[in-house]
Amino acid sequence: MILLFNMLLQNVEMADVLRSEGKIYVVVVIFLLILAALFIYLYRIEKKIDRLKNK
Amino acid sequence: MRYIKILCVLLLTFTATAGILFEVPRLPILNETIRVLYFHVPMWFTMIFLLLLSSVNAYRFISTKNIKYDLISYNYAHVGVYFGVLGILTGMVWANYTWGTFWTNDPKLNGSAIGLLIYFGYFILRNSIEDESKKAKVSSVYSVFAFSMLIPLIFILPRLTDSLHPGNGGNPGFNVYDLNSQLRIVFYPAVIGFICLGLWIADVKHKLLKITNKR
Repeated sequence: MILLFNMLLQNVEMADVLRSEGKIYVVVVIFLLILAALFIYLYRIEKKIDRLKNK
Repeated sequence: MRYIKILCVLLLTFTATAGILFEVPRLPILNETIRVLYFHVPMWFTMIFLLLLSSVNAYRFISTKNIKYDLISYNYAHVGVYFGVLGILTGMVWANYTWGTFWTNDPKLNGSAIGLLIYFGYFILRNSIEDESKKAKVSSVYSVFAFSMLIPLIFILPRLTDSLHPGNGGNPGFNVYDLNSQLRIVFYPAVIGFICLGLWIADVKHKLLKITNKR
């Protein structure tokens, strides 16, 4: 019974083809790029405000 | 504050990578969208955390009458509501592909929408009062009540009735995911990472508020 249940679950459609082609890494790289740009932007804004405060 | 920023960068980098690459349970209907758990749910956790800080600072203003705390309270509420709006929008996109519609009259959805509307009311109330000390008093009292309304609206009422939303309708907390340690490995860092991001943005905004308020 448990085996049958597991087999049913294995049939659930996932993005397996995208993964096997290795193209999922493209998504990860793009995601990380956006995230890095956001962090740098936020950091630079903070630095500017700090300079403004010290004036 | 420096450690919070470093933690934020590390944890969110981990979330972005592991959240997409790691194995997730294969569930019907949800399919690959189960990964939304790593990005949609932390939005609400961050909102609740920031609004809690907001109401704590509002309470501190009421008890000390120091205007500094009112400004902190306003600032946290502002950033918190941004995360709440992101939570609603991400939830709507997910709902469209899972339930077939952007919005249903589900208690969880309506509760969170009402909760956000209460906070929109807070900003309108706040900006409509000219006198600084009166503004601080009225909005602090409102803020404390707004947060105590939010908890039943989001956490209690949806659990009393039936709800489509995962983890509701009589189910306590994370029943659906409870057994799954695969999800937890990414979910907890994601929550902490997004909370750190919220604190970081709030810190930057607070510095700016202090400068503009002096002039």
